[in-house]
Amino acid sequence: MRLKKSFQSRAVVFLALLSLFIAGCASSGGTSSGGIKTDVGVDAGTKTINLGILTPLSNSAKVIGIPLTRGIEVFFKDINDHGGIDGFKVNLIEKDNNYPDTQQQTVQYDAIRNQVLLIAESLGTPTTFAIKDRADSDNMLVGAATLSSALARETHLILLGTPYRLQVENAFDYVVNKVGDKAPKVGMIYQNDEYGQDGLTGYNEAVKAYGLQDVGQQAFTFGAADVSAQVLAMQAAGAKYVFLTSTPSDTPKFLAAAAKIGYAPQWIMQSPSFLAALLANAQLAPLFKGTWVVGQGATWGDTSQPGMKAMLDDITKYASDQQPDGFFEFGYTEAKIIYAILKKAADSGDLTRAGVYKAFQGIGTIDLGGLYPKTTYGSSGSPNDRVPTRDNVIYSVDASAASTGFVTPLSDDFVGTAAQASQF
Amino acid sequence: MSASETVVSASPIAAPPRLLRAASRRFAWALGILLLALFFLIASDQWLSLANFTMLAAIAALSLNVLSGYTGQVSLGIAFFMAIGAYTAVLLGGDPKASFFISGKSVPGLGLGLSFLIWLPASGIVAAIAGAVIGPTALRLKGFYLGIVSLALIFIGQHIFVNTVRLTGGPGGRSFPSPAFGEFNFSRQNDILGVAVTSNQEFFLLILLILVLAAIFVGNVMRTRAGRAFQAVRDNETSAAIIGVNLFKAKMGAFIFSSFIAGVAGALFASYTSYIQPNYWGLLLSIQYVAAIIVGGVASVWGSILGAVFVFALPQIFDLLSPPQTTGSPGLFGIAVGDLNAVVYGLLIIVFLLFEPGGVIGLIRRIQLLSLRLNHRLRKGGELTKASPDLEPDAQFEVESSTLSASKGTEMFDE
Amino acid sequence: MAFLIQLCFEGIALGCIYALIALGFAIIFKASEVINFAQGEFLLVGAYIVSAGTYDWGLGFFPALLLGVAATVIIGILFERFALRRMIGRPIFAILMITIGLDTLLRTGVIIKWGPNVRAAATPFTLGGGFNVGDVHAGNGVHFGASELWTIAVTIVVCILLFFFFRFTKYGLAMRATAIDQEAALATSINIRFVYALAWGIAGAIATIGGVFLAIQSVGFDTTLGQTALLAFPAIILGGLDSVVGAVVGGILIGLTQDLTGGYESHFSNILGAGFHDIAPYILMIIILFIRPYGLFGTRKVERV
Repeated sequence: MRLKKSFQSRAVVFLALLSLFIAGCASSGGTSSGGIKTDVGVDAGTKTINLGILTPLSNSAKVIGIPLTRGIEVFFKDINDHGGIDGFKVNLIEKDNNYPDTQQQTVQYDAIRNQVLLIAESLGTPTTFAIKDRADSDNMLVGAATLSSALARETHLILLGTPYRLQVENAFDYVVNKVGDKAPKVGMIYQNDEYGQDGLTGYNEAVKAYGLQDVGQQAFTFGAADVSAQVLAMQAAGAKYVFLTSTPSDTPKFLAAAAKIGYAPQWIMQSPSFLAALLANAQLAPLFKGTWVVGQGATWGDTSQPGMKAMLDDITKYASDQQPDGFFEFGYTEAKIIYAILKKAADSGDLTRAGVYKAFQGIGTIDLGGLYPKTTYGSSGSPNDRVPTRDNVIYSVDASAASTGFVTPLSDDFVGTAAQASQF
Repeated sequence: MSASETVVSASPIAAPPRLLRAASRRFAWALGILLLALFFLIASDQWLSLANFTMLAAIAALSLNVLSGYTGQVSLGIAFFMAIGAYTAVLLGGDPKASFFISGKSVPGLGLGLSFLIWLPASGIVAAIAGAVIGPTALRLKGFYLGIVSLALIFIGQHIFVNTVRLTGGPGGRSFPSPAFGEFNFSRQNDILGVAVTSNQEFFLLILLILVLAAIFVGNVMRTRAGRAFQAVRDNETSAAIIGVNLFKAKMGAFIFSSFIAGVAGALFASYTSYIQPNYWGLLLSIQYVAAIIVGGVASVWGSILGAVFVFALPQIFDLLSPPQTTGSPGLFGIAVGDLNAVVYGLLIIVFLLFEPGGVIGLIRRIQLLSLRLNHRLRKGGELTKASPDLEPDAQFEVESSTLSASKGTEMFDE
Repeated sequence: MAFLIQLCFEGIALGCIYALIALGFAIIFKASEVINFAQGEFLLVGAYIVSAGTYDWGLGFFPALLLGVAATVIIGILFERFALRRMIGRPIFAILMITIGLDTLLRTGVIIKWGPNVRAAATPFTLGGGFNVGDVHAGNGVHFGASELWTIAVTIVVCILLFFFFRFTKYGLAMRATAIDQEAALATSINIRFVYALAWGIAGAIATIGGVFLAIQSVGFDTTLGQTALLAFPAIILGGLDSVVGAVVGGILIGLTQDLTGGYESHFSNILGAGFHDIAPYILMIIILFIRPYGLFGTRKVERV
């Protein structure tokens, strides 16, 4: 009897809460502030725009996640100190996605999906893919901090930089058209996952487009104990240029395995294979002598580019201990693009997700002050249009060039013929 | 190990813990359902998402508990069977028009676009068939041999998945189907009787339903003849054989049963996550479930669920509750919250194994016992009386047996 | 031909690393019937301490090596004393999991202490050291690298030391006796606790040696180093879990398999798929288990029903 009674009273409380909840649901809706329409992720009262960041802040991938995110932080600090975006301050909500943990990424996305206007940075390909369907249904734009080609087919992702696939094509364009080495023997060593496949696709397209002699393609697994078999196979096949799609974790192993057996091909590295911190290590630096890395954007410290100058000024102001780091530059540039989209949306009086999405579609070309080449987002809806840039710079790794992040440009910024023609 | 001990330990462990007795037990259930309903209504997306992943983990932990907890077969291969379930789901339920962009070309994907009422059960059945095919080979091996050979299953499985491009999308992965009834698709917000229900809420109900079904199913099977045979095999293979258990049949039964649940868990997991790369079905995933049942409680339905909460939900809760992070924030004690979580995870496993072999469930039983005793003393006005025959012996019994069963690893000496 | 010989040489050197890891597994298993899933992270901790000792603390290679060995020996003994000893008689699953808990702690500890960046391996010799047979640059010679030769030599020395230890010393005999029959060993007043501690200590010492030479072969290494131990699992199963000889033979077989399939893989990648060399050791293991369920050198336990 006692039990029954208490159950009933609880049921009453429950129903009361239920009706409160439903009443609460009905009252949410758009507001407007100073003529600017706002919705989820923008606080019209305090004039704050909340942006989400999903990035590794712990574990091994923080080596990329932290400098990249720092670039975004520094850029928006400067924006906020100069009045924000049409009076709105930008607030970053950062979440550790524990890359490549797709489950944590999803939980973290769900944690902020109703708090942010857009995701300014989602680091990694598997992680970004894990939230793409949710982002679509939320009409949420996501700034993708990865250069995977496959992302070009997604409507709500904002890409930055030339995809891995085109990096490989541009590298061999440089070999054939700039260095003038026609039909050389080439080889490819790639990480056996989606990232490596992207590089491999570019390699196969380059072989076809430039009439290269492909003498071998070797896969390896991330964190492999021994890579001498792959390197030996390249030597036995006589590869003169070897392209390497790896991560900084494994790159030194390949260079060391080749150096040991006196094999000295021209190594060409995908941009993530290289990390300035590798060169800062006196024991590892000699391995990189004479290697090339495919990259993009202004060389660190090149103040002839206004974008670089602004970035360096911001660093002095907000992050004076920042070392030259391509990932920082990438993050800073990504923030610039997000800013351009938000600014356009605010100027047209609509800071809702729909308004921001519309602004992105009509954004066209963004001038990044030479920090990265002019970046264009087409509006046709074709994946080819969503690839923002197709150019690269070939750098040579130079242990003496600490101030530029240990690289010196070998070429200008260029788009190879194969990269120009590639379909996405 | 005597036969009587075996029997004593086996049966009560299989039963859900008797949180409270008789009438008050009904109240506890009602309260539980009420709390779940409240949670369903007021929880934000982040808590729903966390709950969904935790319940998915609980289903997988149940599957592992059948094979390893109840039957004593050490396996790290559960991720493989989850993958089989997931890829069955995508083969039957996947978008027929799916195409993958591989090597600069569009490759048509496999997918029949069938209803989830077909692909969800089928994912369990196909995984069970895979279990039946692999079982006879794997079950020739014992103890650590089986454990390490099941590692091979994971690695070989991943190699196959990466290379069966049209099914899995290759290394880049593919999208998985959402459950749907006609226009009512779980991946979207829908209206139920004029009330908006979010995707996470819909999945919450579905996953909860499957979890409850799986828990009842496992709990009941363990009380049947087959279930007792599983536990007899775990406790001592030789004695099990002597009392007439067909070792091969019992082990195969457990293997197939476990694979079935793993397949369903995998399909649901993939469906909820919506996009998965083959790399995901790796060793780390398997190890997490092993951790879950160890921390929660071996050979216990509630143990699987509580283990999932501890191993999956706790680190996330730490993360969600920790102060806002930035790249400059020092974290706690100068350590990033994510790294600290890993430390807590490792410590949690070690501490539980050392100090509470019965897992969280054993701990709860201990606390129950203590509170019951305390209750008695209070009720009798501090008088030290003999325990009430209704309450005390049973609770006592369960605590002891939980400790007993957990410490009953005799396999390693049998090899 | 030079290519094949070179591949075999590299495969044996890699196999020696696996053998060193597998030896750690086997010695612990023989003494206490425990598989130490944290063995890989023992390698990691050892390699990091030796590298830090050499480059950051300025100790020089050999003192740093001693320090690294001491550290892993102590971690091993402490873990055995304060954790595993309480686990005696518990299910295999629980024992496996507690070593996985240690694994997580050690790896995270290294990340917290030293960060995620690639480090240089501490080494007593130069990278290009060693000698050539034939013209290596033209691709028709073989290079016998110093790091590989040292790895092989050290593995041989470790094996010889272990052989003498097990055969001729009091404690070695005690360990063998314990492995054969614990109760009988107890009856002859062998201190089993000491035997367990000894096994973990030896495994810890071998782990640092393995870690250091693994790091040397890669020149640069990071926190993924420990995952190499996953490929030592097929090695011990192949050789037989409780066999020290089996661990060495298994390790070398796995190393050879991996490098040989890796070297010729591109000719078959249409059929077998890219990256086949990483699963070849597991396939070899399964084939061997079909023929001999207790590995090449493992002992089959008798069961009577």
